[in-house]
Amino acid sequence: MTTAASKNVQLLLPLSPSSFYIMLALAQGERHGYHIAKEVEAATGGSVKLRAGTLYRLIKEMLADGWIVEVDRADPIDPRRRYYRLTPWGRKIAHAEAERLADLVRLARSYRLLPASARA
Amino acid sequence: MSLIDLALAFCPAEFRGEYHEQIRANATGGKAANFFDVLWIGLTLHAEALARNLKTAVRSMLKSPVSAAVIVGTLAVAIGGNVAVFTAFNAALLQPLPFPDANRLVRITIGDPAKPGATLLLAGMDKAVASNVHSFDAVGAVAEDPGAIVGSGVTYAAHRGIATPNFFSLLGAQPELGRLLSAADVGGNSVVISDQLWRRRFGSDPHVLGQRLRFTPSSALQPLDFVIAGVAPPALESIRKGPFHPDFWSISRSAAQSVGDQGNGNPLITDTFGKLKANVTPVAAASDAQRIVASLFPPGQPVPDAAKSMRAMVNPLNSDALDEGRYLWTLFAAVIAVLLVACLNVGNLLLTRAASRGQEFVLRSALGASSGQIASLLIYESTLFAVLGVLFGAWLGTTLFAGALSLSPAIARLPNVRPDGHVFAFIAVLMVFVALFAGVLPTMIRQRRGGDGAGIRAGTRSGAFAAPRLRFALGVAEIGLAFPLLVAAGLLLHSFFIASNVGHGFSTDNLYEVDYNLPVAKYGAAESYRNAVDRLSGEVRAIPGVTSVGYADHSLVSTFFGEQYALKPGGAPIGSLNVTSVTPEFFQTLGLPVGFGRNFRDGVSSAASNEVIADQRMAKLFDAGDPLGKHVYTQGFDGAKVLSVVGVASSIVNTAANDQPALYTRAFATPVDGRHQFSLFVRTNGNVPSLSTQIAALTTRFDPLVATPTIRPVAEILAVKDASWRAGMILLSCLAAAALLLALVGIYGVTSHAVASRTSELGIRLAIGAQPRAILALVLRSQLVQSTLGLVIGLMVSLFITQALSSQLYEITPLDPLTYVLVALTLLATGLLAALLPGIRAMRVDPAVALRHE
Repeated sequence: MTTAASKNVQLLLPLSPSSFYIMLALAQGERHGYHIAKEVEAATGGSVKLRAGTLYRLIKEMLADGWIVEVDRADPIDPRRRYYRLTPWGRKIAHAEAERLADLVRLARSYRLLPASARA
Repeated sequence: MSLIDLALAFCPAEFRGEYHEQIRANATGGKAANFFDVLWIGLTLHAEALARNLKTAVRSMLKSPVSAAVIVGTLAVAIGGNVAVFTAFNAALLQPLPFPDANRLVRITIGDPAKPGATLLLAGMDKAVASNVHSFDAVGAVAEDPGAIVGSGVTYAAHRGIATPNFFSLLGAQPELGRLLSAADVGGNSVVISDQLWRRRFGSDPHVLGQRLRFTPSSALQPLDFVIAGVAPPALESIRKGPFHPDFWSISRSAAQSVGDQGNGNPLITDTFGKLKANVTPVAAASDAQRIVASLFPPGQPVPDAAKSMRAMVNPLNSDALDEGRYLWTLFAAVIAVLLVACLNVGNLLLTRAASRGQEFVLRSALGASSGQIASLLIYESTLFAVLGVLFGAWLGTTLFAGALSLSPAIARLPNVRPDGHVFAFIAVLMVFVALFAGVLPTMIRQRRGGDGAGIRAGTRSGAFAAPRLRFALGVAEIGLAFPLLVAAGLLLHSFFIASNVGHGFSTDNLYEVDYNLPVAKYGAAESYRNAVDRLSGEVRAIPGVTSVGYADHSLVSTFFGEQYALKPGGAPIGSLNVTSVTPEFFQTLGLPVGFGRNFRDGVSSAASNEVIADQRMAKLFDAGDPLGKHVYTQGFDGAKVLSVVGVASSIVNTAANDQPALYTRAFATPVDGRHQFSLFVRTNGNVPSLSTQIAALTTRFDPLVATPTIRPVAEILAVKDASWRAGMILLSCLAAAALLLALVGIYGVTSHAVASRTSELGIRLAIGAQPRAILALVLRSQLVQSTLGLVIGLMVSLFITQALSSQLYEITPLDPLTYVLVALTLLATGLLAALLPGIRAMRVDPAVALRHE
């Protein structure tokens, strides 16, 4: 059932962890840069800190590649903040990466590297 | 400015512009961590941009590979030449001698500052300087003691250097093998042999230490036995002055006496060295040494006129050794000129490439590229060209061209001609220079003039891309630069042409010069000298195949400082007169007819001592009238003498002795003691196998103590000093040819493009009825204007530069009109030729196509 589009997506995987974290954050909805960084830090329990330079560089790349777009939305607190959201294409890619990771986990479980989990 | 701001400064402007506010606002956590994060991101972005630009540059280079190859090739050749010449230049003039504190080492001589090259190396100078002059930490000397080394079965001429005990330590030299001599060797018999002697006569034998060396000074009857204690480093070869070079050194017998003082009234030529005190300049030391000059001439004897203008001279050893310095400067200037022309060409070609990509730039603009980005694209490309050109050029320069350069004897004599730190630094400088001059500068000028223009219009060949005035200027500059180079080469070529057609005034086929150096102790008395000459000439004459033998008291190319001759009694001596004492056979052997008057008579009589034969140049010095019977006056060692001219011989022309007038006296007419050298001239019928071996054998049969004479074809002798001149001329001619070719290619490029950019205009002219021939004339006329301007500039530059060549020219002046006219015509013709093809294309423009082009 692989379509041409999905073949294209496969070529882009695997994503770097930092990129995937950003897309995860954006999967929840529109976010601005600072929020993304905070969310990633919270979600990983403080172990992944996206520094400003890395964050905005990845944002710039994803913008160029069409995975995310900037949203025209005025922030009440700080008008300088710029908001981003995933494009359908970006969502597709994030989904594909998630699937890939899930496959890996399934494999790890089948080889008893990971305990079978009730939450599988 | 915070740390983040500092890091942001390293990021590409675009990124910074977009995100700096957000980054600043959202940088949480440690300042240092954020700083390094942003810094790293900045550098990565830059690296990615560089890679992208390089890829684009390479792709665009490959799109028109021919023009790319021409650009890289042009640069490579020009740079290769520069690298090769600079390597030699560096070895000769920039590299210090391989001694510690080499810049404090000097040579102390007496000389006339107005006549460089005529320096005296006087005995006793070291002692005089050491006691009276306080500018030196140490003063040492080496006296030249000629003689012969008696080897196994062969006796060969060699020079001993009698050194002061501090000579080697003054230089700070290190031995190549064994040890060097010092104060401990005073009165001993240890010697140090030179690197050359070790290679030539001992086959670089590592076991040479402890071997015996038997040497007979020409001033002694008995040979001296020495023991080899060490081999000197090759660096000692590079401090020699002129032909004087010791084959081995011993230390003087006593430290108190001057090394040149033999105790027999015949002082030896002595080379004096000094080590300057720190912070004392050579100039200061020279004026300090001035006061000892008068004390150096023997008291009681009149100081020779020539010596009155003598000054103490202190010259750094670094630059003193090389006579060819000026020649290298000229060569260097020439290759720089070629490089400039090459850069102009390349600049032109790059502009042409840029101009033809108008539509590509419009597209890029439309896709968002800024004017600065397009400019930087062009700069990347030209830098890439520069780098490639320089890399190839450096390779060419250090291999092929360096090999070619070392064919010149002047260069081959230099030690250490190889690339080193200086040369690589030079290459790096070239890279920057070429990138700037050929790439960046034209691009920026082009930008200044309107850059990428606006809209679709900029996509045509005309408009701001063409930069017509800039290219016109470049075309003019090419001719302007090529002109002086061509003139310099032309002058030298013209000289050479005259010189080689003139010949030497006689045939040099099968003619050899045999230089003898007899031990003066045994043959110094006039009669024993003459007997030896008679016997040796007789035996040489008896060799089958030898048709004639003549004697002269010195070699054809050595100048003899002897008695002075004047045209009037008590009058001013004739400067630069070449006086030779010869037998009558001399003229016959050389084939120099005594056209007027007569030759010397065969028998020797005392009457003959008043006879001279003048050569044609000398004869011209007399006032008008028949030179026969005229007189010359001399103040000899035994009183005034009046000599009459009995004959006029053809001149020997075109020799390294700078074609001085010559005077010949009858050999042996006046017995003179102390002579021990002479030259035999031998003419054969061309059928004498191993002449040198036969002469060597008969010499040993005559007296085994006599060193084997040097035997050389006269043609080679007369050419030897010309060789470096000739090599320089060949090199300059190649460079001039390269410049001409570059000018041709460059002008073709400029005109080609100029025509292309005027296509629509020309099309319109044709459409409204202009004759095609008129179009051609238009193109050629505009080229003529360019060339003429270039010639005018070039002429002014030439007039200035060619003065430096005047010493190298033969029978022509630096303003030789023939050469200038020929060069001007050549360049004009080149320009017209280069413009011809584009002009013809212009003629064939189809008006309809031209209008559509717009």
